[in-house]
Amino acid sequence: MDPMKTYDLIVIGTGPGGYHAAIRGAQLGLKVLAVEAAEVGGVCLNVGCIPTKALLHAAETLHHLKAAEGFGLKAKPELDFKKLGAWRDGVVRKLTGGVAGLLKGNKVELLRGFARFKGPKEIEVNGETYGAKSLIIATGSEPMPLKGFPFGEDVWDSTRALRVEEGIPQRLLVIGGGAVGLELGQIYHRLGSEVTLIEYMPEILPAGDRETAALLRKALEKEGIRVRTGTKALGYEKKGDGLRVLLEPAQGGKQEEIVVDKILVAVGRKPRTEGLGLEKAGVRVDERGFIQVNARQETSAPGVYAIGDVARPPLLAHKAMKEGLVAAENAAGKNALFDYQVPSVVYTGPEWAGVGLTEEEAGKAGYKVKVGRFPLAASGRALTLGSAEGLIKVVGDAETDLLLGVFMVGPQAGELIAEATLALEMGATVSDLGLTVHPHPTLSEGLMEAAEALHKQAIHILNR
Amino acid sequence: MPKEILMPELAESVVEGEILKWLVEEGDYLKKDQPFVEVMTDKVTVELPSPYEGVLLKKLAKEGEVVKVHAPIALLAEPGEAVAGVKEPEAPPVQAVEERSLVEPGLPPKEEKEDLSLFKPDTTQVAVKNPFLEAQREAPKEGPGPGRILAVPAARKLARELGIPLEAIPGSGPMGRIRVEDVRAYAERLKAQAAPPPEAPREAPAPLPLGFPPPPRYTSPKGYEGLEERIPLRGIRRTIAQGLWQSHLYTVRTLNVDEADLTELVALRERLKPEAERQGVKLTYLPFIFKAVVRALKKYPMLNTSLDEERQEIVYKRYYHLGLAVATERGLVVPVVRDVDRKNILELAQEIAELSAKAREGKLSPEEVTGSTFTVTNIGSVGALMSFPIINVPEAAILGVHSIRKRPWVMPDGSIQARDIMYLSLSFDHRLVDGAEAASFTREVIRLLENPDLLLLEM
Repeated sequence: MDPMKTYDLIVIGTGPGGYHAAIRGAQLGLKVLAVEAAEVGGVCLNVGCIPTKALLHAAETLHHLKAAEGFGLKAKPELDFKKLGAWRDGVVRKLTGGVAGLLKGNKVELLRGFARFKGPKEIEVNGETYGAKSLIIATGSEPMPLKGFPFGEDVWDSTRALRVEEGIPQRLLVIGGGAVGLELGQIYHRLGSEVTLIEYMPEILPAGDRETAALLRKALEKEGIRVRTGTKALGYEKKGDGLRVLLEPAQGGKQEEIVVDKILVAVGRKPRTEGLGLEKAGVRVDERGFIQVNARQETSAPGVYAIGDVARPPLLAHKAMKEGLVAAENAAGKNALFDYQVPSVVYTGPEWAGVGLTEEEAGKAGYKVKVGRFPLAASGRALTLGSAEGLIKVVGDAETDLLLGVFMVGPQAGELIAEATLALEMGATVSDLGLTVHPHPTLSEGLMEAAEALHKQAIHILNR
Repeated sequence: MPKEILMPELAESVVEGEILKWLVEEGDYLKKDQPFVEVMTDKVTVELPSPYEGVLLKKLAKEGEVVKVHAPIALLAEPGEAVAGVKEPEAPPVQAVEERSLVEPGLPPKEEKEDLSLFKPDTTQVAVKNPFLEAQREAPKEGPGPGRILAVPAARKLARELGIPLEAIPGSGPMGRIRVEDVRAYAERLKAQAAPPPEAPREAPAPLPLGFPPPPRYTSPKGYEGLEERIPLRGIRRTIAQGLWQSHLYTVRTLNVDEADLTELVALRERLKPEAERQGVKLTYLPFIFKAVVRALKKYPMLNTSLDEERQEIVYKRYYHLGLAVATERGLVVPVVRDVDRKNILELAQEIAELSAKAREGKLSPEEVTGSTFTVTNIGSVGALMSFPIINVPEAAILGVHSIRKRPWVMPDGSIQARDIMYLSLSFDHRLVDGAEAASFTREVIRLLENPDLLLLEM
């Protein structure tokens, strides 16, 4: 038997968190092995953020072309789904190839195979044993199944839903009003499906500001997506005319049936730990299955870190990336801590984004909450974009003027939220936001105006 | 077993000493009573003699560090003792910082014995957490509730890397936001503290009263940095600076100036000089001035008082210890001649000469620089026409005596003669001493000096 190969750091999984960890580890001089059971880039690059956004862009362009009639641009768009699929795959290939190149360029050894723990600091991949001083678990998450809706030909998960080239269902039911359900639901709606979206909770989006969430729901409804909140799906039956799905109000009550052609279940994702042999390493998970970590990303096993979706919510790639850096730095003997603000974005049209504390959360935390609102109907730039729907909300502390949170719905909210996130990290006051010169005409002015509105001195709205 | 050498009690009121200079190296062989380290307390420097014979294993304090009385300063192996395998104690600078953290904030400083030294040690303690002991392992104040520590990401990162808890760092940004430069500045201060811990109180001064301007800030002019030299404010200079600052802040300094015709005293001294020399004493004017001052102090006792600020009491003293400001290469020191009223001119001359010599050599004992009730500063020895002395707190006044020079003088008969004239400047704390009293005191000193026969009564 060959002697065991040893490394300074083994990273299990090469999703966004994993490849960040591997590269940072290598940058800090560690000898790094990255193990990947599927494709380099993980869910995000292969079957998550990136292909979804590629499709969203196509769907959005289609939507814009239709809307362009309003200002006299007439076009008869025709969508070639095969070509769309190929373009999506091209984007994915370019990016995953890029990540593989980055790993190689940073002298990270890449090993394909499924990793299992053999002991506290040992894993087995393809029958061989590898040891390391530190290990980072970055195995991510997978779609959560829903009782009564086993994944298959009729019931899709988000990965299957990406394969638009295999046909667009005439009627689609989306179960789950989170980011995944909303984004895919809108893609299919814009590509021509009749979409119904149901959400168990009283409002779409599981977390974040309710007011802007409601505005997003209204915008989606206005576009033609049927959204039913406070509704649960009990099961379905396949009949001649399609899938008969039994719905019931979340609080109980009168049941009803709707008929669709396909069902997309997007009720969340679960951490992927099965088969890893965590118990052999002494790594503990919590009751929901997430690996328990502290702010240094350390698990219950010394020298073993966990990052990204497998470690804790929120399940966001950018959170995983920063956590990967923190874990790798700690593995290299530094003292890093994950103490950052994590923004959330829903890439629908309009986009929804939020960071920091909502009014309710801030109130509970003991702040004297004050809110500034700026409707994008008053934004010149939003009007010129033909998307005047939207709202920017700034949450601040009345006593210290400290900025606490920003929530928005509107075009390019995902880009605008970065400024708010930086402001929060810098400990900015609401006045700081308001006093900063923003270019005109841009959507970012709306953030400045919302801050000014909190002090009742916005210019483009009446401050009542 | 190696023996610890402890910081001795250098004087009654001395609680700590600054390690000025190590005179030996680790591994050196020490004879008993061999001086091995220079320690400065209050404002004298002493060379500590080794209490034992043996090999110096380890210096437990760095130069510049302040060590409390009875705290260990060195480890010594006795002759013949195996030196290898000696377990060394923890690094002392960190301990020194840690020790301060034991002083609970908010508690009054420990009661001290009556301290007549000129410059009391600063007893305002500041609790300093030891940042080096425990790296921060969890996020500081998890959660975004009020009172969260505002710090920019780069500052948080730097603080973590340096192992400094964010809570400890005063932020200079709006609302106390901690910036990168705040972390750097704090780290620098910690470094300075780790060397001599007593910097701490001054580094974190009590908030200034409203409207009180902060100390001026010095910045080197651009391009001239290379032509400047920076020396840490340490040792005697630091003690002087602190004492003078106290004096400036806590006295109502007022000046009274007068002149004296010392022609007769000059003649008297000339007559007595040979006799003094025969007894091996160099006779200066100072013993006469001392005698005159004590006579005047007895007549005007307010000038021999101190204000006990804490108890709001005026302390009258029926003993007369005169401080004598002496300029030395290391800085100004004030040796004290005790019980001036009970010593004769020759004895005083002898003692003044000895103390001045010791002062110049930096060999004054702590007793020899503490306890003065009034101070005389001999400005004349260098030669300014007139100067405004600073009161040696907690005394009530200080007398500056200037050079004796031939000056035109109007005699009682209206003629003008060249006489030996000396200016006197009395600087007094107007809270304790009224202007008329101060003037009368000076006049009395002058009357006695102008008529030295009167001093015979003191002999």
